[in-house]
Amino acid sequence: MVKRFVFNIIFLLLAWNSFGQGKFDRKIIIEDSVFYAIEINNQLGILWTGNIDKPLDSAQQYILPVGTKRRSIHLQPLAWDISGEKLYAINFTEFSQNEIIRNLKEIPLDSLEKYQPETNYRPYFYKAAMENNYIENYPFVETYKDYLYMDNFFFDIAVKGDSIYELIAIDNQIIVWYWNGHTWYKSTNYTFDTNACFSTFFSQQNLCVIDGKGNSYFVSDKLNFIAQFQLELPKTILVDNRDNNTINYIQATDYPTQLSIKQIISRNK
Amino acid sequence: MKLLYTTIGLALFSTLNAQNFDYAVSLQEVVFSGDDMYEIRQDDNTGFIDTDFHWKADGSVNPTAFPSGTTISAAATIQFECEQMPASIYIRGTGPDEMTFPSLAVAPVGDIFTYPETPATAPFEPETIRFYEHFTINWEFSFDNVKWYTIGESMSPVYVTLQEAKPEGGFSGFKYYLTVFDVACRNADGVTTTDEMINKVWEEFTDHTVYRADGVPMGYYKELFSPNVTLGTLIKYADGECYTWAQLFLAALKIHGFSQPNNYMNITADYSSTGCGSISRFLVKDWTFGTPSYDCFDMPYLNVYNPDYYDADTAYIYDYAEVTDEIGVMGQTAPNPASSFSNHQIAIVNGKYYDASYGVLFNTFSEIKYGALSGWSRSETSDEVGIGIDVNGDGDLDASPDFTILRATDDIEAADFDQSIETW
Repeated sequence: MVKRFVFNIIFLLLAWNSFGQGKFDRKIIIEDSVFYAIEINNQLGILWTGNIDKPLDSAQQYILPVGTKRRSIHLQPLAWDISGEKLYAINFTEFSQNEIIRNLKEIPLDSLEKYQPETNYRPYFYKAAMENNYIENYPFVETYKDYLYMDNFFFDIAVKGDSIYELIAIDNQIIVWYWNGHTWYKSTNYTFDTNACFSTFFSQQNLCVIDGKGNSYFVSDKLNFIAQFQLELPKTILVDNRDNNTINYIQATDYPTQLSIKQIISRNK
Repeated sequence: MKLLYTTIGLALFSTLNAQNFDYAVSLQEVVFSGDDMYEIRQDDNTGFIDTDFHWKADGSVNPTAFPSGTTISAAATIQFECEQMPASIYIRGTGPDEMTFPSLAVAPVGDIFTYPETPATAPFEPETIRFYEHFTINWEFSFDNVKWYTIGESMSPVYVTLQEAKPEGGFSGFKYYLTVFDVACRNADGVTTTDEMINKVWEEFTDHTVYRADGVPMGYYKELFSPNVTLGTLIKYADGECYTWAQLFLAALKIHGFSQPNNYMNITADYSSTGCGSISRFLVKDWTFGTPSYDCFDMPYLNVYNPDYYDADTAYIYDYAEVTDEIGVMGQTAPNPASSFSNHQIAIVNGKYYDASYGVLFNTFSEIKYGALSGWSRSETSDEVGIGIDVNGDGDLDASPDFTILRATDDIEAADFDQSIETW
């Protein structure tokens, strides 16, 4: 059952910086001095994880049974988050066994398999379609029922404990869907720029959104404008440092892998 | 990988006697160029086709491509062996369709005369697709620009597109693969209008045999669970899912400069609710519906997936089956391709629905459902107790292990297709 949900979230200032290089999709999460980042290779995700003080070259790489296609018109980066010991993601690969109702995945981090360059991708497309099904992705089903043209269809997720926030933007509107562990709730439609992808994240306890032009908002019972930052998505990826509760941005180009995440960030401050 | 056409070229040597001395002349190499010449990608996606030469005396050639109405330029290298090297000679080339490379006086360097990069005297015919399997140029030389002697012929493939191709897309999208030129031009040689071009390119898909440029037929699910979902992987591996086939057809049109927004349609079941859960999958013809177990009334047929279901190469593996896949609608180079899906992709051109995977054209969206389907289905997790069937035949109903089941109905009216459309 879908109910209207009112978000009661308090505004908090965010720390923003614009710098760096990177080859990862959408964001880097830092928690307990460990970073998590996802590279898309042949549509499937490769999770990089390692110490923030050590070179990227030393990071462990795991192949993910989830991924995202590369569309022709607009890039839709992988929608993913980590909460506790689990990775949450929306599988958006092109594969004929995918069902949109089963594309919201909950993947235990300790179930991941090491990635090797010679890894055969074939079984992972199938796993991405069939396994790690969490809850029915009703927000996707409803969106697909309601909209015919999908060039400007974008989505992202943020997870906090058992709560999942799935934000879906299309045709200059965005809807915040909330799963409380039992039921999907749906916000009203908010006016929102859909000329490019967006990202959502928690800044401390606040659910925030930044659109493709750098306009940032926090979500309560409406979208509350924070500021416009001089950045564009997806040319920029987010660094969500949960150790010091900061959000930074770095350019989405290839990283020098001999550097650590910490060095990459500090060089660009 | 360098593309070598070993069947075409021959080193041509002529031994002549003129002006009271003996000599041998041979065509060594021909190179095409032009401001509008396309950069063609290797079909194995390892880079671009070599443009250092397009014909060599050892028989190797490289194809090239141009938009119609543009001009090809050529350079040629000629080896001249004689006791007394002339100070200069005249060289010219005569190509097809009144494209000639005019006489130029050239001086030797050592025993080599190099005909410099020179535009043809006529452009490719405007607004006309051409496929020159052997773009043949007859090269000649002369001492006096009056009496001409044959040097030899160069022959290599040249593709000419109707209009300038649309720009390449990013990531794994539209790219100038050799096979895209080949499918687009080989099958529409001589065509002068967009509508005719679309029809001719489409005809190639209707006989269920679409060839890669090297002659290998490309398949639709030669491998039952093909992981190839991009244009590049279809061409590289000569096998792919529906995504790739829709993309190949659209790519062949884009190479001719034709593209429309909202041309790439994703079809899914509409998740209609039933007493057995929502319908999320569909079965493409033909499936035989046997005796239903009626574990669930609205979707009375039931199959149990084998644990190795996904390892199947050519036929589905079920531990228990009331619905059976049969040979039905033929796919590209596949008499019985995969047919149990959650989604399908087709191309939309001028309001019509081109299903390139099967080579079938639908005039309306509703035709797809009635023309292609055997039934609707859904998959879910259950066990023997859940479905009331002793799948492993041990005489009782086990509560574990779990397995994946397929529920199905042959009631075509039980659901509809949903469509979502993107631009490719």
